Amino acid sequence: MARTFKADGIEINFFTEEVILAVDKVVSDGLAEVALEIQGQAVLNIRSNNQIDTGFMMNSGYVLANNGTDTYSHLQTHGVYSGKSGDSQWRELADRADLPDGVEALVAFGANYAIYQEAAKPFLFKAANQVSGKVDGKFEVL
Amino acid sequence: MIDPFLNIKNYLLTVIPLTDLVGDRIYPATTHLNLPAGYSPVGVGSAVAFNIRGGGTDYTSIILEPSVQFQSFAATEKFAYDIDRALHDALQDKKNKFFKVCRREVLGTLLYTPPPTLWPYVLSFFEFRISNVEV
Repeated sequence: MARTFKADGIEINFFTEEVILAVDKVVSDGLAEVALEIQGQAVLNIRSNNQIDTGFMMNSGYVLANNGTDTYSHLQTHGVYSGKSGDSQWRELADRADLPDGVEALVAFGANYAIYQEAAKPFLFKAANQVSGKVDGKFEVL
Repeated sequence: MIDPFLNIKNYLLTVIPLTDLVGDRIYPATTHLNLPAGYSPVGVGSAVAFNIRGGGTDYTSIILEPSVQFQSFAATEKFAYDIDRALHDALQDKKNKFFKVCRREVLGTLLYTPPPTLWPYVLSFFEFRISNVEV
């Protein structure tokens, strides 16, 4: 609802709330886009780090964001997958993470062993660093 | 460019509560995948391995801002957490001739090395600001 001021025959309408809502939506959508780009870069890093056996971890990345983005349901579930050498490997998907209060968007890899791969050869933190160099502003990298 | 690994290792070797737990077994540029040959927490003793996982520089390029992961290995889960707590006390909000400041990024998480070893370790992350000038 616009607030209207009149003086000296001039009428000024302030659409403050509408502008704030529009900016919030743009920021929220923008951060969700950044998160999706980080996920994509992380996949490239997994490839370049040679961290692929069954491909389960590479395909277990997802994004949650305050604008409603939620790609977790697209993921493959736990089960037996074929490794490079043709052997069968059990792969498990962790539960969907919660979006913490105050956080606009989250990128995670649901493979329950992804943390070991990240500790050995960082692919996700590196992706966040790579993408943060392309976008203005700051976002928290954990 | 200075060697951030050397600065961090040299500082940690001065922290007696930490070296009381791990001796001089503080391994730079090391993860659970490239521990020294023959290492085991039971046979050799507890240890800290650390590695830079990323980061950048400040706008002046004078300050390096590495994010560093620490893996505290021990024979038991409790001992691994004891080392992580000693690391926290040694690093959190500290500044000295080796670095300008250090802040924990993520609290320690208990994990295990892949089979067959299954050694417990606590994984944690700290961000440093290190002057790119030899000390």
